[in-house]
Amino acid sequence: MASGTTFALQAVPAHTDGPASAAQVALLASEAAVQKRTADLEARFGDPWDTANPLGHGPILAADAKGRLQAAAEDLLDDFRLNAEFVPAALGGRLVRADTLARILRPVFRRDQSLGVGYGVFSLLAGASVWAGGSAEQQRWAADLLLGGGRLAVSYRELAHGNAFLRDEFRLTQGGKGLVLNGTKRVIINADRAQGLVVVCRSSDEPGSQAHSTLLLDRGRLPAGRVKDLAPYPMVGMRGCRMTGLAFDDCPVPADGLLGAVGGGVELALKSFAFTRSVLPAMVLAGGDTALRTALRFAEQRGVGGRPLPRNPQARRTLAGAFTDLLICDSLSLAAMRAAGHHRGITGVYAAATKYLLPILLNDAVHELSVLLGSSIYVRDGEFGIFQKHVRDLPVTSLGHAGAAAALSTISPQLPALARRCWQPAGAGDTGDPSLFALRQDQPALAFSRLETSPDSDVLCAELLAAAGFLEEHPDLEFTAVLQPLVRLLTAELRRLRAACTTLAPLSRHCLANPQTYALADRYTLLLAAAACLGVWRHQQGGPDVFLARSGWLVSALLRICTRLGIGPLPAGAPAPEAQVFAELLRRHHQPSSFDLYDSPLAAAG
Amino acid sequence: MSTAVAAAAVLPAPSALAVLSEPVLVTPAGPWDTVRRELAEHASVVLYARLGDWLPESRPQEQDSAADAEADSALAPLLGRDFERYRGMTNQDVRARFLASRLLLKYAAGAVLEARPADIDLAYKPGGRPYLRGCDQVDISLSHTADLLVVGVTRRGWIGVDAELESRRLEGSAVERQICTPHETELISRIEQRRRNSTLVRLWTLKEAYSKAIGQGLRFRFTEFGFAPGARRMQVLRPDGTPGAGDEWSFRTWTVAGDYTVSVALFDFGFGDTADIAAQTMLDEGMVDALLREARRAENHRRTTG
Repeated sequence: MASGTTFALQAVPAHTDGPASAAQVALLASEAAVQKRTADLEARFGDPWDTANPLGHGPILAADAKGRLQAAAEDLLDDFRLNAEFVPAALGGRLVRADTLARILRPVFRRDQSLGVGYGVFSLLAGASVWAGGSAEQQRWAADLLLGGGRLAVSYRELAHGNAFLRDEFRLTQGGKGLVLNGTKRVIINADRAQGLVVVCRSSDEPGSQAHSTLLLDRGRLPAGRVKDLAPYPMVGMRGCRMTGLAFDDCPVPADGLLGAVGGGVELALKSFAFTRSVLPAMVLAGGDTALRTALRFAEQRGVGGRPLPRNPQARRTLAGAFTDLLICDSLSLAAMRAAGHHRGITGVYAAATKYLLPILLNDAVHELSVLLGSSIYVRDGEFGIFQKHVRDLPVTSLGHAGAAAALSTISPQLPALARRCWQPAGAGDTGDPSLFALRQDQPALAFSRLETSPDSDVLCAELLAAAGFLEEHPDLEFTAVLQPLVRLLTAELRRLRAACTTLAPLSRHCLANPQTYALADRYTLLLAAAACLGVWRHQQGGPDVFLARSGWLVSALLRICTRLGIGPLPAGAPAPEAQVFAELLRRHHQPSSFDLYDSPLAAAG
Repeated sequence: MSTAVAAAAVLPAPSALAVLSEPVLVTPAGPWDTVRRELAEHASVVLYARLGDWLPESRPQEQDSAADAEADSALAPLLGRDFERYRGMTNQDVRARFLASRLLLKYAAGAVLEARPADIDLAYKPGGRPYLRGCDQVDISLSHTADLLVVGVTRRGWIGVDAELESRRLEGSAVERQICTPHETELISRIEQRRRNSTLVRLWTLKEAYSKAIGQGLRFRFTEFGFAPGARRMQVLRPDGTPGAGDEWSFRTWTVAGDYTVSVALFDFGFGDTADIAAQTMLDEGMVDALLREARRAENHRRTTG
């Protein structure tokens, strides 16, 4: 910031005890501290199945029907100071790592995805741009705003195949007296109640990657009459979220309202996406937990198709399959989030893969579960009414095709170089990175300014190859007779992918823009998911997470991934692994504990 | 631009299917422009085809295996990963229908995405539902019965289509009990005898279309949800006749090619219209250019230092 200019953001009262020391930072993200904060939030919300709980499923559904968030739930999150989780510890908040942040938000997303998104996750997404590209003053202002209970909203720019969330574009031009902002955007979450606005706008008519800039605006300092809120946008899901829009009409923008350099909008977005694209799906998958729990509860009480669960192998298979899908999702997002902390060059690719694949797996899983509930999927209240809410909310959090297209835009251009340099035993460069899968282990604090978008190695594909070797060397492990052929199928698929991607004409958008490339990118994300599962399993051997160290879930996960890849022939002999997964699912259901990698205790009726 | 205009441009039309045009008859030669136009205007389109139009010209029995191999070498790149499955099929009827329906799906997808049919990766969900891998800007659904192939394409959400011979005997069959909810049985008992069977066929196709749209095929039991035969606006009902799914679902039924009942079910995500679905414009220019520039820089760096 040039000296002598007045900083345009009005000071917000600081609610901070000052930046944390290195020791305090380490403590904030320690396994014990994360478990404590997660348990605290879980306990404050209480048992959602308890019909007397004012924050339970019944009141959540009632608020959703009215298109509102529950005021009491927002108060609870205020009281918990959830916003502090979105602010880096160096700025006085509690944000240290992506993976621990996602875990802390899961109690919120398990109950109500609208609450998670509508209360504040978009403050986090907006904040990521500020932490990654803002000046010290901008970071201080945004941190103080969030720590004081305020909100940030973010408006991303138009993408090639945008939708109502992304389509309209703001324009920044140089007027006589300085920068001027124009344009309308129909859907911006929390636009009407956020004091801080992160706005990505077109700042040049030139094609290419330097035509956009990012602004950080203080809503309170914008001249009245130059910015207008638009009416709420009606949605099928996430009805409780405030989805309003903004219209700027020749709105003057202070010169120091720029976040980063003019023309740096795309680069900054890619940097912040390397964080947001893995952390948000990692929270959203907790909605799948509730959908599965509801289906299981239903099947236990009423049976499926007239047959009780213990005598219904088809229903058990469906339930175990959905649990497996949640574990696949969590494994991939874990690797992506921990790659961010290690400043791996490939972080942006893994985050995009997470953003692409998780919505697909979660949507398919809840639809498979819907078969178990039968006509009860239409119930919008009572014990099972929460199921249809999660089914409706899931597609919205993923932005549909626009979200997938944006993720593929990040993966596709990198495929040729990854194929040539990384996807072979000799060229992998390393044997994977155990720290990516160490779900409870400490990790350096995430430095947003160092988020990487240029891959130098592909540790997940290296893990796939290393795990194949590991299995050959340990033929005595559980279910190896099934695991070995499955992993051979996957490594063969990686070879095919490599052959196909090396022939893609590199370095040209027009040559890449082809369904064949997108299909290869889709296959690559499935291989990454398989590699992540293998990594979690392999590096949990001898560790405290006994279920993850056993092979049942891994067999189930790899079978499901191979089916999606359409590769085979698949080895027979899955009933025993499946029974292991189902037994664990039942144990966690009755405990109760979470259907993810962490097996976290859930609030039960006292 | 006024707000009202902007809003109208993105709000999903409440009765998208009410204006959906009649199914379009297609052969490998098209008319693909019509298909693209229908999809642009109505967000969804239903295509139908004659089996014979989509089979490679039949060869006399005595032709040698060299000709077979030649035909196979042309089909292999077009069928992609389905080729192995196709080659393993022994029943000639099943084989022909499999081939024709895959070709139809690939041509239709290629036409709407403006890409070569061979570049389309036709994939299957774990439950068997076909989809276009990596191209979720459109959803597809396939049905075939006797001589008819039907494909649904939408750019709004999920689609399911189903076709049955109108003359198929359902009334009084064992199937009838598995199709109807108590509410439907009650409604059907009230309509005149001669219309009962066609009403059942219509119900059956609606139910198939709906369960295909949610990716469950016959796994979702047909007695768990229903419709009100004869209602002006079709909607999913619970077994007792009370409302089930909401307005995000719409349905339509036609008589096609004289003998067939064809139904379509459509789920609208509510994201509004993305009229442009071409594969060429799918990648974001700014993002891809930034990454390609970075890749070039890294490559040059490696060359100069390596």
